Amino acid sequence: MITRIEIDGFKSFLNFDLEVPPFLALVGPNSSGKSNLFDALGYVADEIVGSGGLLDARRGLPGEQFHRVARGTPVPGFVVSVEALVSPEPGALLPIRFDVGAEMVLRIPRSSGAVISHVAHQLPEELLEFMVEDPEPEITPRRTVQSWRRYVPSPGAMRRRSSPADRGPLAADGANLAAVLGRMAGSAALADLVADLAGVVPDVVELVPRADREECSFELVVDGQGTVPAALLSDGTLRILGLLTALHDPDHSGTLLVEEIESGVHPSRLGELLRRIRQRIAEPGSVKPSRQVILTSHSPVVVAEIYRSDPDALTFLDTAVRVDPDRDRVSRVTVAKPIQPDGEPGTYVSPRQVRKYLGAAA
Amino acid sequence: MSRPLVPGLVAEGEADEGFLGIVISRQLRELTWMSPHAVDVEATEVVSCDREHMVTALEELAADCHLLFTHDDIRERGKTGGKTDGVRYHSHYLVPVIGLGETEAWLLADRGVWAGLEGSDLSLLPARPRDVERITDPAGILAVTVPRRGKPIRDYFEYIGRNIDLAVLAQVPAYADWVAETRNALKGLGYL
Repeated sequence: MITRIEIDGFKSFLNFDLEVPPFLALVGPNSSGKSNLFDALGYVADEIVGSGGLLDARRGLPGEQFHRVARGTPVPGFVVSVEALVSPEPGALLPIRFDVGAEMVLRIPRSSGAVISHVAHQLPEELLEFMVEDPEPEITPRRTVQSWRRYVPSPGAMRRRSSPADRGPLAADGANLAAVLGRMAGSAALADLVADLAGVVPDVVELVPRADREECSFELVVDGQGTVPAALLSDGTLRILGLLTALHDPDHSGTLLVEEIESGVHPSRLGELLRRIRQRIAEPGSVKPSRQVILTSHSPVVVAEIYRSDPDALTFLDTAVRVDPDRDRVSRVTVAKPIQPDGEPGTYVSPRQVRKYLGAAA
Repeated sequence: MSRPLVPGLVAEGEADEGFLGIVISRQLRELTWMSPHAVDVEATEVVSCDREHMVTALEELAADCHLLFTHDDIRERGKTGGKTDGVRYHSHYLVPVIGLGETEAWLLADRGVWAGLEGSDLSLLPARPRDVERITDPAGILAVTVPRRGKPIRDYFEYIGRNIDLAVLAQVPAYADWVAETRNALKGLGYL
């Protein structure tokens, strides 16, 4: 489970840090840095297990991963640091920290490598008794970053049949949804998944995974309509089904990164979906494997629901223009703001500003 | 470490919301270039209200902003609980309030920005930026100047706010006075 992110010089971030709880909703306008934050995590993962964060960048060329300045001196490099708590075995915890980055050398971007350590900021005292030494130092870093999974569903891909040989977690685009459901067939996890699906998608009666030697598929039984094959399901239903599948998958927990949670979900069901997502969260130190969700949203409905139920889980991302005469630099930066009743303006979101945000939907 | 700077604006019309809020943030960036430390200049917090509710709006904004701007010269009216230089918030810090005066003509100061907007009619715009203060009916001139493509006038305000040349705008005496007063307020707040 990711506990802290520090970014300096990557995309819209300069001297940025964020404490990450088990359930975190990042809310903000377009271009406020929500996707960039996920890109930063992707950069770290690609440096550890991929062919390199610069080459594997999801958006932009290698040189475009560096912070852009409107005026003055470009940044010479960047560092992305991520702290996480991993569970090498049930009931045991291990802090791990990744410091990865890149630098410009003669205007050519190149990776400056990764440093992996076991330091952590502000470990909760109650978790100290669970701390152990890393039993598998060769594997832990890879396993850790592989447990950070982005969910960017592609309904077209999710309708396809898939191979039963696919035993992996749900792919980012959901293309192996049928295989994951086939693997979960007959399990308690699938029963709970169907219960949640019926609570969020109207008229769902049952979910039927189909698997033979060649391929997996699935059908949905809809009240008053009968059996509906995956190929005929709506985009919105598939998005929700994929999300719930990732959250209920008993073999692959970890951190799920969900962009625009409201996409394809009817506003009247969004609150219920969020409630059920939060029930799936498992904090480190519990008996169950930890399960974390970091989501982004533009939706006042999402803000209203989380503000009511768990305001500490809300962080607003916004931008400001940083004027830094000392470094001869002016650039737009992402700033993170928790909700607080008062404090230094610009460092928090006040109840009045939350009301204004919610009023935007009225 | 950088220090945030959040400006607030009590807006009286559509031009304020679309144009002035943007210009205020842009101008603050220029001013803080002389700061001894890094400053994060945020977007202007805008609250729209009529004159009757201005004091309430100012007090609300004062909780979230470092510096407030209003058209109404509230200091002369003495409606801020006897304070002459700002709105006191939570009784422990004072948020300066700066008057803007009449600003509608500022939209017309930079011929260049209108020239860059295909279809604009520049015939009634004054040659010298300072002369916009002589325009008696800025709304009327604005209506003639904007491209006539059926879009409401207000749809152009953000574009003009983002693209107007602040150096040209500074040739308008009232704007230059406002910049000077804002600079003093920033000094008082420790930003300069």
